[in-house]
Amino acid sequence: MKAVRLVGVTKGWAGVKAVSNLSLSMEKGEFITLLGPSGCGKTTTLRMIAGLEDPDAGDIYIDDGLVFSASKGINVPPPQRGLGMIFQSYALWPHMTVFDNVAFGLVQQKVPKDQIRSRVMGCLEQVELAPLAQRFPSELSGGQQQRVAVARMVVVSPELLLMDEPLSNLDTRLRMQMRASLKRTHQESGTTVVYVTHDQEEALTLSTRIAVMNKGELEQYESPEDVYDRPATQFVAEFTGNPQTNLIEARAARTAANSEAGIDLEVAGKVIGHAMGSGFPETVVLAARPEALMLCDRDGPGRIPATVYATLPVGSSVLVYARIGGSGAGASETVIRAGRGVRVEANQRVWLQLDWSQVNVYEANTGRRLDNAVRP
Amino acid sequence: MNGFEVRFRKLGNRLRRPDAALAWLFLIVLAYLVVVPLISLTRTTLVWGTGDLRIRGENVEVGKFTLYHWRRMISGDFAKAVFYKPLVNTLTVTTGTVALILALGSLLAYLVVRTDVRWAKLIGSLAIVPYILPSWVLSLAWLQVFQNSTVAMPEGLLSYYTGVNAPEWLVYGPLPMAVTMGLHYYPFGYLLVSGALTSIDSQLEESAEILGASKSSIMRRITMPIIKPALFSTALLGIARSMGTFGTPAILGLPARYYTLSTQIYSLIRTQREGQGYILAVVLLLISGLGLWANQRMISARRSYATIGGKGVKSRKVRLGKWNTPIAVVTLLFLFVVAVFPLAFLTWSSLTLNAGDYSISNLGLHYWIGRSNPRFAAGEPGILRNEAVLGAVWNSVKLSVIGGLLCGFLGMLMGYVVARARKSPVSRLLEQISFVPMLVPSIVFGALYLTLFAVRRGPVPALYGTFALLVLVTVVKQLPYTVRSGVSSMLQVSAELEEAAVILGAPWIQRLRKIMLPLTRSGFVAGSLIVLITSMRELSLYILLVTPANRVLTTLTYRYVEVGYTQFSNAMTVLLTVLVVVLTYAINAWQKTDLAAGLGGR
Repeated sequence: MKAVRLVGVTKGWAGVKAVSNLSLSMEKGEFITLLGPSGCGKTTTLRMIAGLEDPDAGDIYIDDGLVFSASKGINVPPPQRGLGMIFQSYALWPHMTVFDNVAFGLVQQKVPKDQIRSRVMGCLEQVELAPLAQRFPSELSGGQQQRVAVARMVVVSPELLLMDEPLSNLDTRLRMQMRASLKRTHQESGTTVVYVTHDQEEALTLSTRIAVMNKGELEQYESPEDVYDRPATQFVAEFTGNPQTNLIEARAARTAANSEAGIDLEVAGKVIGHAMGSGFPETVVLAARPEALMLCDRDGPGRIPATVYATLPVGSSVLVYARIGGSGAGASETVIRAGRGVRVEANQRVWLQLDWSQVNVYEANTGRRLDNAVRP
Repeated sequence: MNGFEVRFRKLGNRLRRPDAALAWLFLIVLAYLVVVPLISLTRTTLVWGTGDLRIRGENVEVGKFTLYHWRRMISGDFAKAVFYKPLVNTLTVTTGTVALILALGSLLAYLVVRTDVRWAKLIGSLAIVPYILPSWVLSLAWLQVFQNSTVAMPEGLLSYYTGVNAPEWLVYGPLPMAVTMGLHYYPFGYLLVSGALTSIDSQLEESAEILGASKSSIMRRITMPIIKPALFSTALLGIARSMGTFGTPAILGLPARYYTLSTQIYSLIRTQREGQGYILAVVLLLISGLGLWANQRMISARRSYATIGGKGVKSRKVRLGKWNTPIAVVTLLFLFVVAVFPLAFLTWSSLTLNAGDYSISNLGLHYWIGRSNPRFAAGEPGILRNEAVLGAVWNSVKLSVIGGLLCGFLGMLMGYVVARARKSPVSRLLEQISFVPMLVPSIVFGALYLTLFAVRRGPVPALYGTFALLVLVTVVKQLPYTVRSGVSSMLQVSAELEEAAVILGAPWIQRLRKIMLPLTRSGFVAGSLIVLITSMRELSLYILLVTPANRVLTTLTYRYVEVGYTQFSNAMTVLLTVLVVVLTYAINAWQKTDLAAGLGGR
């Protein structure tokens, strides 16, 4: 049984496609993150699942029931879709107390008064806000407001919980705490969660699966490990990097002399690796995370020459910024995560050794991943 | 699945969203109440009227197409005297009035909302008093202060006590008109601007301050652009209101033969030259329409940012320091002269048995509680004994309370519909149509409703002579103000607040009742109150529609002005004001909202 299934969902405004032909399905109890830069269509997708926005085309199923179909003219109203939603602004009603905010959904369901009381207070206790029940939202801190927003939706025990960047208005420390508390809430309740964020770290830490979106299309939909280790496209590789993913352009040349190895990969005029197979494009992009590069102080086979630009110690390690191909135009900047004992200085000449097991190769024109065997 | 069933379902889905259905309903009703009168207005300028038959005699076939009216109004001596001169006069007076409204309104708003000025609450409540007064209070008072023998009038207060005879330009004409109208109308500028100022998060200004901007450049580059839409609306409303006003130009212009478009329209209609009078109305409409168009263009793009979200707005007050008390004293003195003196003076004058004699021996309560005495005012009894007056009081109260509440509620509903479907053409059209009555001069609006409801038309009954017609004309005429207040209040509530309630299963009517209306309550109260006050002292709108059975206070007062019973009209004006003030404060106390803070947040 699928908790949510989107089939060919499309939505646009004034000719601009916000979401195009999106198909996606989620298992019960999953924590799915829609990840992407602003304007990629993730919030629109969430709002279409909620029923706050109507797709132009496609079908949406919740718990295997058809809730929206453009072709069949079906559109189940939001309250009958059995879901809860937490908004980026929290959307707490400023004229109601915390208690009344949380009780609202139960009042709508005509739950008896005494039950409302016990359920609301129970829920507020869970988020540690019971003593503040009679306060107004404006009298609470950001973190407290966020917890009220969660409590307000959790109290009606929805099967599906939608969250639209719920942590983006909090400071870093609070955000970390709230992440932990969200993850626990999810694990305890077993509710399916669809979570929208542009923060890749949030996506990696919380999700069972991540749907990376770009320009209204789905780029990759896999577990956090797969998204991180084997990004399906150059866009995903770039977007999930922290601090950034090194994208090194390489020229592929078929060598007559060494036909067995097949193809030479050249960076800055130097052969640094070989690839096999036919149909290999002329230009490829090597994506390597900062920890997939090793800093060497002398040249060797497969090493890329570079010049140190700056070094940034970050406590447990040192981030070394180096430029490949001199310092002029056409130079590409790379980041290397080095051990904390490493001593290099600006303008020093260094050589970069790739850890090929952690390198993904993409076709430069299309950004598609190439799964040909590449070796040193 | 066949196509018919799919289409049927889609229709059902759409109907489930009552805001869309409501938009259509409003659009149809407003089209009848606003667009049809406009068409008949234009039509009247293009056909022969019954009056023309009497004036011109032959060659006139009533109801037949003619360009006669337009030809007469475009060129020739008649056009010069009846059209071009009043037009120039109107523009002169309006420019002065609007300049005064903008200057006074924004200065006071800034002082009360953004500075730590002493007695801010008192200043805030005094600042809106002129708005509560009937529009002719200031002009009546002005006249009774400055009139003298040089303009062939009995002595005024100034001449009585100092012997100084004011020159004619100070008694009649554009200067006194612009000043009295500006002083009467500036409070809505104050309300609009203080509403806008209240919604500015002072962090916006603080960040500019941190970036090294001086106070004046913060004002110029941060504060002014944010309140610009409010200033623009103020100017627009000022133009529309002062151009359509009849009372002041009649009192301060007609004796010196200084005509404005509104007094000219009135005199043309009274002499049964409707065709030509309505051409002037069309001109007024075009001028105001131009303003509205400019207003729409300017603010449609920038009006969409929500200011009430999950978080509060911080505001920090500017310190006036050692200037605080002097500024407060000067402001209060000014407000005293504008808000308290005219009424006190009219009260005093209503107690003088013979007009123009301010000595103690001449005082008496005759015009208030006196029994019929043929020595005074042809035996008319004092107003508190006068059955006609008491009946008119009851009618006025009934009319303004019912009209205010109805209009306020409809304004919120329309504001909701417009705000929710901002991009749809239906809601855009609805917003624009609802603003049209603002452009129609009151006197013309009254005339139009007279013709529209004189006889039964299809399902619409003949309403002439009924109380319902007065309510209807009030609601439609004042709708622009409540819709404006409704749209801006609704836009301030972020859509997510309502969507959260959608998710939690609240049907539309519940969302409105529990979320949207409570959050916009101050907008509703402010809107209703403005309508209540306006209609309580509205004269030109009703003067053609009332019958002896449903006379209101203002029309009765104007009858006394016309026949020259100065003390009676003064006493009635005072009574009217007392009524308005009592009603306003009763509603304020009941709703616990402050009109001055009405257009802002809570």
